[in-house]
Amino acid sequence: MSDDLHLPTVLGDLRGGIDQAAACLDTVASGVDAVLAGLPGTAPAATRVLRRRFDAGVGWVQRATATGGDPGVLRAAGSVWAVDIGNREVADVLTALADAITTFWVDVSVACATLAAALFAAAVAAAGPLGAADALGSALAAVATFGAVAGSARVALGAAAREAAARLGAVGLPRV
Amino acid sequence: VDGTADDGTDNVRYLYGPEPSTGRHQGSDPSGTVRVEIDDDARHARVSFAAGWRDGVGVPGLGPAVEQAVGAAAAARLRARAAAPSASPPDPQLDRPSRSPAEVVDDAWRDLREFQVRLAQLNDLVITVSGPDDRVRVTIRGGRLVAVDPDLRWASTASDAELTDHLQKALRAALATVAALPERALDGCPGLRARLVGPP
Repeated sequence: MSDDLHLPTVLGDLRGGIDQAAACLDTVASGVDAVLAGLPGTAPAATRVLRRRFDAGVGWVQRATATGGDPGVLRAAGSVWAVDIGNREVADVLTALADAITTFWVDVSVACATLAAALFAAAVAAAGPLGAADALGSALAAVATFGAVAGSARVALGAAAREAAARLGAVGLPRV
Repeated sequence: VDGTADDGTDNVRYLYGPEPSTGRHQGSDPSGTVRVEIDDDARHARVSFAAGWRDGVGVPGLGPAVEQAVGAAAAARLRARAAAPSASPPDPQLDRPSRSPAEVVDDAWRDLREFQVRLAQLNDLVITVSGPDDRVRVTIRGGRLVAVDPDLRWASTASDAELTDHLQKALRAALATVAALPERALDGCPGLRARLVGPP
């Protein structure tokens, strides 16, 4: 996989996207709660569910952006193993893991940009009672989609990391 | 064809399916004599009058009464939506384009920025939607119906059936206009459109 990501930019954009999504979520929740507040006997349980699902889906991504995981560093290390040490097997393992990390950040970034767009549209719609119902529904759907996509990316990366560890163990190196 | 919309840049005509979606959400003005019902999808509207509306609300107050009834019906729709269970998460559909990772990520954030700018611009527009023969005009701004204006001279002589027919058609055109704003903002953002709306 060529044309690697510039990780500081990727992580910065991702943090910004999460912040935007969170701000839009607040707007959606406020708009929905404002309409529901005018209806007797209606508790804002729906927006509590929305916030809880958002926090669950986005929280671990937010934490992951703090530590990163730079595919470029792994590729550089792989190059050293291939050229300077002459161990192609280790280089291949590190390159495969770098590809998996790149794929993870691409999937999570695209999912986050999509989430931020959907929540922005929901926030705009939630400004009035006419759009508030659709805003709530589309926000819930967007959060669910993000959680599914990011969760799938996380599972794939975990599998790649386990495979890399096993392959490195097989050639007698300590597990990464 | 139920109506036309003119936002200053183009003319849009809206076609409607014959049937509204199943749920019904009702609202009325404070007098209770002007009533509006919208369907689950907020695409169809039905207007009705209770006896005595002409003596209370009257033709001059008809537009504001319809606005209030639409707001109440929309709030009822939200209450029903908030109480309904949400859909289960979809299967992840991961994009695997042939471009480089950096290009894919850059495109995603650029699409987001473009979409936000376009939607904000569309949302700021004041759009006036007309029913047949321009008898009823509905003004939209920021996704809200901000005015319902029947032609008062015509309305003062029109029957209740004529009034409800023209109000309904103008409201349907307005609902379609509001619903279409996010999708119109996706023009020029093909990647984001594919992820949010699905393939063309």
